[in-house]
Amino acid sequence: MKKIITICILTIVTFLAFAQASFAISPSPTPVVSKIEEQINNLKDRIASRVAQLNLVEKRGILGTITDISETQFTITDMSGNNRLVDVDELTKFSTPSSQKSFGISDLSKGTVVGVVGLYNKDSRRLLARFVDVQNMPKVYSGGILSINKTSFTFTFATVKSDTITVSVEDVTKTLSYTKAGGLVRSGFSKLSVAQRVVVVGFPDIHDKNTILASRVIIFPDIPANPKIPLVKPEDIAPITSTGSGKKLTPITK
Amino acid sequence: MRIEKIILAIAGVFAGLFVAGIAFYIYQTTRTISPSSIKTITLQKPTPADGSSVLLAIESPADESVTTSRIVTVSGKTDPSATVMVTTDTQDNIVSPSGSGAFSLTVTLPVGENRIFVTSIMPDGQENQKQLTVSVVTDNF
Repeated sequence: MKKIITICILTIVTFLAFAQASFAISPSPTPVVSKIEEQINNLKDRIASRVAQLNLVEKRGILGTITDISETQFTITDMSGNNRLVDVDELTKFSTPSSQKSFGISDLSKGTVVGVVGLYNKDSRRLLARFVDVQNMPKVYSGGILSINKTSFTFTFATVKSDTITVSVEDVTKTLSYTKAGGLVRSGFSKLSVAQRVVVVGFPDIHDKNTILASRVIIFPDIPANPKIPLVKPEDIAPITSTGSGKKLTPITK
Repeated sequence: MRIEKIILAIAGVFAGLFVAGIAFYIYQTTRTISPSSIKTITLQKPTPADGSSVLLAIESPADESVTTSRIVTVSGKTDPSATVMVTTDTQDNIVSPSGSGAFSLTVTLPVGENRIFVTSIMPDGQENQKQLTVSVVTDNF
């Protein structure tokens, strides 16, 4: 019996010894921290803090329309429709294409389209502006041609948002045509046709907000217009027949 | 006699745990997974999440990015049969994607804030457009 007890005790001791070895951890630091170690730890903390700060802030550039403005900050609605907060300090530089003289935040107003480049804080979601530039950007539209006026060199087209826009083709307008076989080549106003897919880049006419003065027109003869755009093709229009009473029937379009 | 039994029982439990632990360790370190038991997971083709039926994913440049180079590479993925149009405020570029749907082209941007419109147009006229803001700066800040 004594032998069995001895074997058992030996087994337990061996097992505990293995368990100790497997759960061994690094030796605990000595309680006395030397001055050098303290300095190293301090430096480590500062580096870690700086790295965290650098990761938190990044350079970003946004475009949008000013919706609210004060002396040190303004809010813009960006191209995606989100409100963005922009802070301004003494290092922020302002510029506008229309004026060469000094320009500042007091010259900005609601509705102005600006581009802002600065330091974006991911935590506070605010942009500290370094450059604020007033923008005069062209509009870019994609749609299908509804009608063409060959005498006034204008055409109307519809977009996916159901906007009907009149485009004035000027002398400076560059008209291009794209086909898979021929690539992007120069074209002309005479090549436009109803229901054709078209991309228009231009500026709104100051006299008529619904008219675009085109700087570039790109037509796609091979690709139909977006099916979401309601277009009336020439072949869809029924011929107008005479009733014999002097009045002509006109097709009802909804 | 009773104490002896208890000690013996405890010793037996510990000895059993010890042996089981060693057996489990040996099993874990020596086991091999047969190729037939490996389950292959195939990712489904990504579908556009923005309401459009045309896939368009832009890989570069990142929206709202700031760069010091005026030459910017626009790359991404779309349907292989689509036509990709990249329009900036000053120029237009049109490319056809590769068989895998990947496309890449370079555009030259003026200094300042720029918009890049990337439009993927399907042969049936359906389209998906994404707009990026890319700023070119010459001053370091």
